[in-house]
Amino acid sequence: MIAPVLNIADLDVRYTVDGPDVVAVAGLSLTLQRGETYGLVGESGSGKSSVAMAIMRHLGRHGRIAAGSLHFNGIDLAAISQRDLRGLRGSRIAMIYQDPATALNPTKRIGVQLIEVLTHHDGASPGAARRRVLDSLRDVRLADPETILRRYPYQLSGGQQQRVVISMAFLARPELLLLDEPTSALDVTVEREIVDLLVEMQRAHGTTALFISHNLALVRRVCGRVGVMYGGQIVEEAPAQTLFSDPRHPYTRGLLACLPRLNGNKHVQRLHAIGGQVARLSATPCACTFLPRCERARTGLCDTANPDLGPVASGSAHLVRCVRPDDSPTVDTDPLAPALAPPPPHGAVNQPVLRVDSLTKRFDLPDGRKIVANHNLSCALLAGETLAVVGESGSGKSTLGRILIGLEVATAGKVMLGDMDVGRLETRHRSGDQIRAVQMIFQNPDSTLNPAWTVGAMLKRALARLGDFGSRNQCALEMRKLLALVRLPAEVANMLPSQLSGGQKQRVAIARAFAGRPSIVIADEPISALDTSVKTAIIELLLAMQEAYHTALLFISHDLGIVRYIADRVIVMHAGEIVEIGSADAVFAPPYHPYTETLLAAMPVTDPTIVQRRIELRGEAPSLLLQSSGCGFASRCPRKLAGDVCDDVAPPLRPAATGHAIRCHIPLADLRTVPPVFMPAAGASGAPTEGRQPAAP
Amino acid sequence: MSDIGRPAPGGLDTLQFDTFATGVPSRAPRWRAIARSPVALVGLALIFSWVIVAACAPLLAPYSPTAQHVTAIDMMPSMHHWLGADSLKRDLLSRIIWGARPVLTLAPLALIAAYLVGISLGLTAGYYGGWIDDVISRTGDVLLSFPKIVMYVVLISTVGPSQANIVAAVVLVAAPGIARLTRGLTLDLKTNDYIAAAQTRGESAIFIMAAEILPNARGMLIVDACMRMGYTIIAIGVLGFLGLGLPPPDPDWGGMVREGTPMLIVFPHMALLPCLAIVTLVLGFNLLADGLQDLQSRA
Repeated sequence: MIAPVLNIADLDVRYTVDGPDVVAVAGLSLTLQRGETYGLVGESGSGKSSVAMAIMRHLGRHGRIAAGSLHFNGIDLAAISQRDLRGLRGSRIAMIYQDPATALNPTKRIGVQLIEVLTHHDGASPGAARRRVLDSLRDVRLADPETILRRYPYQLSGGQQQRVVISMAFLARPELLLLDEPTSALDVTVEREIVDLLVEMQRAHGTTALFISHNLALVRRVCGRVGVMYGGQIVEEAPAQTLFSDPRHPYTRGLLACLPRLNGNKHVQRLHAIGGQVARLSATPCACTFLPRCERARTGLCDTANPDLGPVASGSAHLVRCVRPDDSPTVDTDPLAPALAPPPPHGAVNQPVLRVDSLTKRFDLPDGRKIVANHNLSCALLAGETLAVVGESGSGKSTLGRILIGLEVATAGKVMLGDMDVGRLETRHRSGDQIRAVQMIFQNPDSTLNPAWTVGAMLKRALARLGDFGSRNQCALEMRKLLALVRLPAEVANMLPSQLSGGQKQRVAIARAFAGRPSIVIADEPISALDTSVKTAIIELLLAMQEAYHTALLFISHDLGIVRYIADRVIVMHAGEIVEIGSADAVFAPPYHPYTETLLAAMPVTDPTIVQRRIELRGEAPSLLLQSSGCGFASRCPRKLAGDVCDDVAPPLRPAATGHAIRCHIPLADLRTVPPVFMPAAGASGAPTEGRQPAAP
Repeated sequence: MSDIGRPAPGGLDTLQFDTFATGVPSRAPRWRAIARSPVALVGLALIFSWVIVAACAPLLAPYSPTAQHVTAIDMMPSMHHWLGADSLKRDLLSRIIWGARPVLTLAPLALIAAYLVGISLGLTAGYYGGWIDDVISRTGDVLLSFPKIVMYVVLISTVGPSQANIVAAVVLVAAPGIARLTRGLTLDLKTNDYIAAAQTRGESAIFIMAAEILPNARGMLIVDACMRMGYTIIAIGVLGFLGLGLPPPDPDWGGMVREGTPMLIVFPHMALLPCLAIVTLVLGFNLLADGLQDLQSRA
């Protein structure tokens, strides 16, 4: 048997700040064979990044390897000197981090930085180094590498930067590549390309890789073997296909059940959240780490000792850390939470609560240039519905939300709230009723709550401003009701935001937004900063609040999986324009706008019963500075028509069915012949029903 | 075997609240947290000693600070005059003890006034931006470009030394720096979503500045105030040294240094002991500032 590239045995990583040690990794063993890609998945706090940091010996002042061994090609990483370690880092072991900007020196040109790698590590001559750098930039499919060499990092987009970082990592031909959330900061379309590129580069070079991510779907696409981490331990390890088709550990099952399925939505089946919070270890556990959150735990069995990681069947490569891994069927859906009532027939009952008419927002930069963030948008938000706005960053979807609530004012067009145009009114110029009608939930749980205020104080303030409560006592009473409604215990009222977890903070933010019983709530990426298991609980809470108050929800998101689950109708935005609008069923099925099609093709999927069509998308979202007279998507469109029509003429918004419209030059008849992006896998049971029903005409 | 720890399988009812992170310090240091910083404790001890000395001056001082003693023949420290006497044969210990009073009333008073002005201007400039920011910031830049000591000397020598004038001078000298700091903090803090959330509640600008932004700038401002206390005490000392301090015969540390300087070679204690008083007090504030800053970066 060939010696493994990386061999980790019984690794313990601990951090000491004030007080008792924090155990980040407990007894982790891991073996990587040459050329293998191993995926380490887990939520924040599971210890997955600490593993990578331990391999690089980057644990910092407070962290240390408390026990266990790390061997890289026979070299003891825990024991070697700092000097030898420097020789390994960057040449034989390379690491790619989440944020490409931190990996590049902002004061040096890209060319200088890349050539340095070769002249330093390999002693190559500058001329030869330059030729190899150009080749490697071509390998990562960067157009015009000569120009890239002369650029500074800030002159490149996030996707381009990450490509440069990847080419830099491969330049020294490392034997081991550590990837810590390498695409989490990127848009979904860019993420797909970068991940495919990584896989291709790694195959070409025969590099061994440890891929660390919270994203199960991404890991499924990239890795051969996957380990699921929980509370500093691997709780399940299996070949990727096995893990996703036959998960055994309750945590893995829970995580997969948290993810919305393509063939369902809130009207078909509700998502099943994992209760409780990610465990934090501070001592050697004397019971199963997952016990507090496990629905299948038994006394006398699960609470006596932490189970060992063992094979499911003897000799199997499928390992699981559970005493009763296979005595119940897969839990997919929640039997107790009923699916929501089917949506009313289109346009039957619901009246619009908000109408956007030819809305345009232009930002004038100090240097005279103009950014058109929203161009001629028209849409309506119906009472009680969920309207999702999807698109890449820079598509103008957040700007739309900010105009509706009055954080920005429109340059042209109308926002009709009731029978009043509020498009030009900042919030403070709106009437009390208008302010009360629209509220917002923000993306970042760490900045959404004022750290100087207790939860109770901020909710009481919101109630006093937005509700009709005369006395302080009434406000306090109402505040406690509100906390109960978002499933937070009453003692949270006296806590500061720093004492809450991300999910709890977002619950408080939801309570605050619903304090005045608004008719419209704008949620701008409310779950994108949260962990998988928490996301689901927050989504379910949003749905429950929306149902209770009959609130219209404008759900701004780039996560198409969640959008598929939550949305009644969907708006797809690209470069400040609506390119497709329609019911969720219609948008997720042909006919697609070519942009919608590429978004769906880039969407990470965990469902093993579904095959996803692959689409090449060239280039990145166009700068909003340059408004072409034609279609904004023309430069990237895989279905661009021959001739100049896409470049020169603005495409028409054509109705494809009732309530479904597509802005494209391609005739609808042709778009209808496009095959669906998602197809049931051959031989899969329970074929998905989604993706093949064209919207009812 | 029975099922334990079993959360109800409902999507929303499964939440447990047993894992709150407790005891996490908030960003502004609590006064009790100072116990964790020895540096801050030493600083605080120095400051408190001087505060007690100033408060109990009538009890602690052996003599009146203005009384002349013919018994202090050689003006050197003796049994009767522990720290000796000054050139006018007044007891040096009593004068230093009484001299703590003007500095410990004047400096905080002046700084509170300077902070009121500086914070208001800084919040306004940072929150509104635009031309309001331009006017406030450029005016501040002009004031900051003068050497501080020159400003003090010119101001006091123009309007004459008095408590009110010294307070006014400190405001004029310190407020631009405070405003600049507050403006920077405001620019940073106002990008937080909780400010947008307050705006979407229709809160007034004054409420947002005072209740949403200011409490989060508090920690930095307190550290800055401690540093500035040190500078202000030095400035008041310098004014006294230049003869622009409080009018004699009341004791004033800066003035005492000035009176002692001509005899520095023969009687070094006359100038050095008041200097030492200034140094220990300033050091106390600087140590406290260092310690608080350290606590904040740890939190």
